[in-house]
Amino acid sequence: MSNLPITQIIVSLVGAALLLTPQAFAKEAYQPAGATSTPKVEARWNFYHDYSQVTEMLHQLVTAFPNLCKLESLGKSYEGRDFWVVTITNFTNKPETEKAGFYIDGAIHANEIQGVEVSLYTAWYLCEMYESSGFVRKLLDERVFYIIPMMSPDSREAHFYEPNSTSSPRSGQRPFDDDRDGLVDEDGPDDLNGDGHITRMRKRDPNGRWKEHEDYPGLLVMADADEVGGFLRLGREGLDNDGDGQVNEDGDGSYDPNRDWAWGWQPGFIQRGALRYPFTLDENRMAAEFVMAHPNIAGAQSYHNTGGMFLRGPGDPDDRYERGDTRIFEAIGKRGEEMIPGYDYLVVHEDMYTVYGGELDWLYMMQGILTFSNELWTSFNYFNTEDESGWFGSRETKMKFDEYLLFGDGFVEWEEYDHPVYGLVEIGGQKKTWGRQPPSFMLEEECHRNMAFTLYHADQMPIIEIDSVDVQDLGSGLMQITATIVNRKLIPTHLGVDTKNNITRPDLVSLVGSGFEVVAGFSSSEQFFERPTEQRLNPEVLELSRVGGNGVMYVRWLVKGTLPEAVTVSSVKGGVDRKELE
Amino acid sequence: MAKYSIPFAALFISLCALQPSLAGEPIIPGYLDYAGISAKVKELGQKEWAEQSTLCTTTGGRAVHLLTVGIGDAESKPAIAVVGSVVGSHLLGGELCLRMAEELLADATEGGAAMELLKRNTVYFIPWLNPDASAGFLDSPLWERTVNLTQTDEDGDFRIDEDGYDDLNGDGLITMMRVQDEAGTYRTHPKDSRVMIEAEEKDNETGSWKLFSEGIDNDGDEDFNEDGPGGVDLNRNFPYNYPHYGNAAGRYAASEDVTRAVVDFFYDHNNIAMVYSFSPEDNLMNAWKTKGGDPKGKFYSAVHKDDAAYFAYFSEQYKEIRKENGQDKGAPKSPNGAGSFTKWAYFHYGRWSLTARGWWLTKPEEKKEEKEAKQEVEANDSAKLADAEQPTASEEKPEAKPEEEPEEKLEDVGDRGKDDLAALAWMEEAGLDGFVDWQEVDHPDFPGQLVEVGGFKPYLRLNPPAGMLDGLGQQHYAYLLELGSLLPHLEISAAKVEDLGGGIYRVTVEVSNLGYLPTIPAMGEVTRSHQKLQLALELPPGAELLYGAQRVSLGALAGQGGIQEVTWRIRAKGGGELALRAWAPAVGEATATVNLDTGNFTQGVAK
Repeated sequence: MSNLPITQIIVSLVGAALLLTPQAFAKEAYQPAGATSTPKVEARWNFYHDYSQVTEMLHQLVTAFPNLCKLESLGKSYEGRDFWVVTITNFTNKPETEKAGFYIDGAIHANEIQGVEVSLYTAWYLCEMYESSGFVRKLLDERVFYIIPMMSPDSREAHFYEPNSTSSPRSGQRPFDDDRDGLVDEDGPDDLNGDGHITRMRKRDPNGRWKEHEDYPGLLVMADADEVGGFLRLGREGLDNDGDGQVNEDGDGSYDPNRDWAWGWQPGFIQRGALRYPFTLDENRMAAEFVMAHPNIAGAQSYHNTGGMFLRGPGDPDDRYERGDTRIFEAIGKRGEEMIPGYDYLVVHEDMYTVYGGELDWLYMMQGILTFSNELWTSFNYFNTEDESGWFGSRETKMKFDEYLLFGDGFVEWEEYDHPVYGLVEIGGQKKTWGRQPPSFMLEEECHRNMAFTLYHADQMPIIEIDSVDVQDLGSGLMQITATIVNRKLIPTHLGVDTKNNITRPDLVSLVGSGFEVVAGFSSSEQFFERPTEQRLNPEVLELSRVGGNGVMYVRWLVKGTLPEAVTVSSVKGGVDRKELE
Repeated sequence: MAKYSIPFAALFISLCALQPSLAGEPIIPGYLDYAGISAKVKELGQKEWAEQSTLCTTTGGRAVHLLTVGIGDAESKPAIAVVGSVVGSHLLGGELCLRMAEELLADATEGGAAMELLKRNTVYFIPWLNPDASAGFLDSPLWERTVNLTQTDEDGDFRIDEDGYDDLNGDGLITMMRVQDEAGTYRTHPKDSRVMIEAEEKDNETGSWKLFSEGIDNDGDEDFNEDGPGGVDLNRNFPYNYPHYGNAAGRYAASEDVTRAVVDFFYDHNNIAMVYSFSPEDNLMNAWKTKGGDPKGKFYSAVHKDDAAYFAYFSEQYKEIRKENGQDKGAPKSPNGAGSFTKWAYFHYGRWSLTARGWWLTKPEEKKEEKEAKQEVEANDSAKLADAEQPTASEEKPEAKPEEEPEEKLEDVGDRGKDDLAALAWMEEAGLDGFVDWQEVDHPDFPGQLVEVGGFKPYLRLNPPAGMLDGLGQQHYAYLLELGSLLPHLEISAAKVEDLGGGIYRVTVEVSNLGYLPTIPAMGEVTRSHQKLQLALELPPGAELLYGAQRVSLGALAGQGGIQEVTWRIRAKGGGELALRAWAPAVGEATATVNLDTGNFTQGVAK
């Protein structure tokens, strides 16, 4: 290049610049309503990210948005993978601890894989939209999001790359002796035909009581009492690996990471899936310790599948959520029903089943956090109609969907296989890639709608503010300073469960400065101080047990000396505020 | 009562300066401190059949010691876990635990009872479950420490350890504090003005004292000593019936490293068949009872109905042994511990869980002459204190307190203060200086009011004088041997071969339990935390199994001859010998062979 004439060099440089930044000269990109079409971190939301792809995108976000996004590994999973938490907020305006926090985690049941996608989409969306969306900007200026996208990283990898069904693995990869015979994971399902899916086995048998479905011959249905069947059903693909006469009785753990949390925990014989004690699993322990170290967390969402639900606790029929709190749950949940067609606001033990030691109960009962768990994906989505046959939709609906929208990509055709125990059988059935999770073209909508619900929820977290301060001279060197403290959000600074159990300290309203002496301090729920509460101990810092949702509290000091500089208020879950006195 | 004023400032010692007492005897001389316990475990660990290890290291840097006593592969034998000092202040437990280990090792010679036990069983000893709490008995000022060193906010005011006890009279002990006040609800006992009792409103009694633990209101919140240093009582931190938000229970069930290390140890040692521990939550004097039927609801609050008779039997056997020094009745009631280790071991872990207080202070009941006679004999010989509290044979009913004594008519206050009076009487009898007489102090929180500090010294009502330890150790060791003899005893008791012709055989094998106890408590079958009893068979070359699996899970076998049968159909052209093995880690192992040609059955032929 050194031999080229200088003009040529300039021309080449200009040309290079043009090539590198076509936008500089091109028209502004057409931006669809919703997300940006020109993100800093390129992303597609119609496929599932494996562990390393999630990890890579989190790193890309940190590089692209250093003032909005931080990434930390809380430790290693059982198999040694980093356990990521990503923190998203405007890091340049005020300390993270002075903002209400919102906690999100995804896919504690690893097979419920889209929980990770919604979490990752949320991280990406918040970063990418900070500049262009006033709503997102306000959220990140005022709040902080803590996202653990993969609660069960090892089993996510197992679901992707080992033979499984849409329902497995629900556990992590830590081995346990499920059948208590002294051997560990010695007899799980086997991918006999090597297609990566654990499907079903059936055997043609003139005396079998099952027959092929009239419209969908891939399905077996019970033969009528007066007709001949033709098939035996033989359960999941597998062998009796350990020679104990049972097929598939001890595979990947039957434990349940969402029965491992420290509220109302009960052991396995009462609560199937529980282990030795709360937080037996390191992944849960890391997440729980993170939450306990961030008492500013006021809202939480734990993404599961399936069935289209906004779930709240309690999971234990003997527990009761505080009445004032349930009204807030209901207000948010009912809004969600409008935002996501086919989803319902439900209570775990009333509408599903009893759960002891579930994560959402721990977050609410022990940490005082208003928590929802969305059960992502609903059979409503197949044809945008209610399917009456439960959370998964009927088999016929799925076969129809497979035929007309997946063009047969959703099922493994039945094929013959020579089984060492059962002889000639057939193997086939639904692939692991859908059923509980959306097919490619529906994934982005699922991510966006659920994120939107969660951002609505996050926007309801408390913000404590000093609305006004009034100073009156009472004569003889005595001043009366009255401050009005408000919270213009739906969620109070302390939920009922929080004030009941002293989970977080009271909100503190203080006078700042020097040269003054507080003679007495009062708080009142009404502005006339007709029945004020006097705080005898340490009245300089007045304690408010809570400021309600869209609530107001009044505090008043009688002060001698010089005028204090300012009033400050500090709430663990509601942030801080300060107003100067003049 | 001596009343003298002590200048407050001069004698006030803050608990912030937590140091071992430098001067004077420990409160309970002769008990091992942490270093002593560690040295003893190490010494025993060097003996034949013994091995020392560490379960976990505490916040305070102390080891939770484990001493394993077993012959050969310890984990392959059904085991008894002996756990001392489950409650930190119950130092007796650790002392007994080590004495039992020492006796067992000394006794383990051919032909001895200990050898009989060790041939079939392993014994795990954990002398101090909560070393950070137990080590506290040398602290000054001294209080009965049951909590570890985890920082906690006991009073939920979001300040940590801001108002602990204060030693107002400078005696190095935290006792009680009474404040003369018309609004008080306490009064003195008519029989002994040292004893404070609550005034009963219904009897129109009036109190004249307020009663607090010794201290000042350090943080000015008008509560006394509501948030002292530490911590978590591990015996409230186990996951059975865990008291959420409970005092000293920890942040959540099994929040403490030691709790988890202990639970993990037990689950990882599936060979443990029985847990024999020491704790005030005694169930050997107060046998656990059943509520009958199948328990409803989410947890079992009483023992399984099929286990109740065994708990009663354990208790009878124990009382038999404790008769020797008269502690076969009159034991205090057990605290119903939420989150306790002992309950966890039965209700979650599903094994026999037996726990002994080991000793309690009994009110001397002797008639005057006998009492005097005895005192002469024993004088100050503290080594014989065990005998000193032995009631005479004539006293069948210690509860029937004679009222015929021609004393001056004292006001009857019922049972109030009864235990305190008994304790004072016992201490007097035993020559033990266990009570700090009330003495006046100046108190900054009660200007112008009479404030007195006094009361029972810590530790002495829960732990006997050291002179009694050897005797108690022997009794509890004898009971350990007794427990060992009750464990299940597995046998392949019979095998029948039927030649069906054509090289086909029907083989029926019988597995029996000859021990007193069933192979697993009924509760264990419910909790399913044990490894199942299995029977496996090995075929001779050329044979194949037609029906039946090579490895079969058996249900529980009842005690004293419980039997289960398994049948296989085998095709074996050339006949040959089958090898049989029945085993479960917490039950043991039995082997046998049976010959298909001859039907010859031989027990105990190990593969």
